[in-house]
Amino acid sequence: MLNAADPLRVAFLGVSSHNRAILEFFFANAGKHLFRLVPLDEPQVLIADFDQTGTQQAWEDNYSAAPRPGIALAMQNPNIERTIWVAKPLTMQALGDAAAQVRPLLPEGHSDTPRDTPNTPPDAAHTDTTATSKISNTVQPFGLPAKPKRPQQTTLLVSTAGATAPSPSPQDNSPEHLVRPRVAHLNTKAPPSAPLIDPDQQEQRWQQLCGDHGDIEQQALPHSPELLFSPDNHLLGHLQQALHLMRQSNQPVHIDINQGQEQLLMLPTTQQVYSSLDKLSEDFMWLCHLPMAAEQVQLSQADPETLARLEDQLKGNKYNLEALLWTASLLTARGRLSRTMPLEQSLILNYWPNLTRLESTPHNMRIAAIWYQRAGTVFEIAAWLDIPQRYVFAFHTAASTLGLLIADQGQRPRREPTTAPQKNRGLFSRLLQRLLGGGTR
Amino acid sequence: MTTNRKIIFTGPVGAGKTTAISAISDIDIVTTDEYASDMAKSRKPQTTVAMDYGLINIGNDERVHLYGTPGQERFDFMWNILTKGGLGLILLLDNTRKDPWQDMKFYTNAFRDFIDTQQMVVGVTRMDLQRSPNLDQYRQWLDQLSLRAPVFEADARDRADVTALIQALLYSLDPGVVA
Repeated sequence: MLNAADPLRVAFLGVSSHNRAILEFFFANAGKHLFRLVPLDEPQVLIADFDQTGTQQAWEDNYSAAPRPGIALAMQNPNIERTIWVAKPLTMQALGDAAAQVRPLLPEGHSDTPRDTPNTPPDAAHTDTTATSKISNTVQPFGLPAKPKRPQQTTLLVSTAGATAPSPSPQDNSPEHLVRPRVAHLNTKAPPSAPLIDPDQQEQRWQQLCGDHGDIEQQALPHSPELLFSPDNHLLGHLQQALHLMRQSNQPVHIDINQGQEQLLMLPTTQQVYSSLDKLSEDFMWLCHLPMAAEQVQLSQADPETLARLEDQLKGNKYNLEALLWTASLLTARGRLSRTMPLEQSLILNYWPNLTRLESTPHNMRIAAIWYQRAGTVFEIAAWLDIPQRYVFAFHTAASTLGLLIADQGQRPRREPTTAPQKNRGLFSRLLQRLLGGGTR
Repeated sequence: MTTNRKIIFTGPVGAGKTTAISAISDIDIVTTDEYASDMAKSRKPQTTVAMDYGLINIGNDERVHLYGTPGQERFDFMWNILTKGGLGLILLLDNTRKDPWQDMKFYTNAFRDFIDTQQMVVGVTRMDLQRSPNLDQYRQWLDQLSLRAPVFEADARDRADVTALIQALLYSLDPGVVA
């Protein structure tokens, strides 16, 4: 019998890598007393992402084989019997409530309600056990700080019949001018719930990725060995060689570390990489950060037999190639600069990194924006943006590994950006605060 | 005094404009979806025939309006009207469509004047379903069109991704802005 304090045994069905990462993070931290991830043949409850192609069919197949209740992740309520709907974007509150509400759907003897779910409506779990239930009207997604709550409002803005198509103008683009031949309501969405990411954990991760050293004068850097590193003395150098080999040959490349202790496999066609280590794990961090002798690593082109074996063996950790190289670069450098980089070299960002799929570091959007528009040295970029140098150094190392930062050949202006407030700067600042978690709703 | 600004979302049918606006809007978006009666129905049963509308309240009577253009080319007469007073353009391209390169050419041409005076950010959707073409190809296509813009993989359902597109737009307009 399931003890009320036991975590629910759950397995994923069709959950995207992004949401999987969020859920795993939740399970490992705030939700560790609520959920425990198990293989697909062992769960009490399935967590299925119904916005993914094929999940509906997979759910039906799985349910007919072993009828279990589920938690349905989706933008819209998929109305699946014996599931609890959790609306995206996922929130800690909604997942906590879902854990409480799905328990009564378990077979007899497994439906004890946990003791510590104060946010669950008193009778919610008992009044809606057959139909899908909307758990929470909170919309604050993971990783975004909370905003002040206010009462939910509903405003009727339009009620017209036979109206014409809308025609907003710059002078008057208010919603009252948006008409359609039926009643339309502008419902303000519910206020967001608390953030999931612990600020301390976030800060710790940024230290792992960018270090914690202070700023330094450019002239002093060559005499500060603690702020310099050589990629060739680390795994990063071997990854760069493997990338070069893969691009040259257009063949998969196998990276064998310490005679098979750890392995990676780069795939040119899909631009993905398999790894024996989770790139967010401590082991991977140390593998990148600690020096590595040349003889510890073997690179080879994978023949079809090796390819099939490794794909099967390493299928647990499959990443976008750029995402893995980006993280490996940051973990290696920890905010240091490569010894091979000429400090006085003015650089430009040839293309923006795919920042929606790369691990985030402080100010990375601002660094990308300014380096994309203007040529500058790492020291100039940090000074222009008035941010700690280590964040620019980190961005420099990672973007260089991906081949996105190149030497300036006079393509872009090298003048200092104007410090005068630009038109709309105040508005932009408030909009960013609002989107990233501050500001007024 | 109320201050209003606009951000425009455009792209072909099914690229995720309605979904993207919905992901970040403070209100339930006003959509004008109808059952498609033309080629659009091969990609989704309902499509936007006039525009989508969403809103971000910043406070102090300031709002940023989010407009999604209809994806069908026969509504292009509306596009010039929509962009007037706009801060910038989010172009969403569906990687599973037959010819994303043609889509990029069409929409950047249609909004060229607006892009030249303001800024554009490109979000490539459905890359989880189809990896090719990859982002490098999109970057090279922009080079061929003599355009410079950030290009990101994006899931229109994901608020963080849509927020990132807008962040990149704002920082591109003014790298000096601080959140």
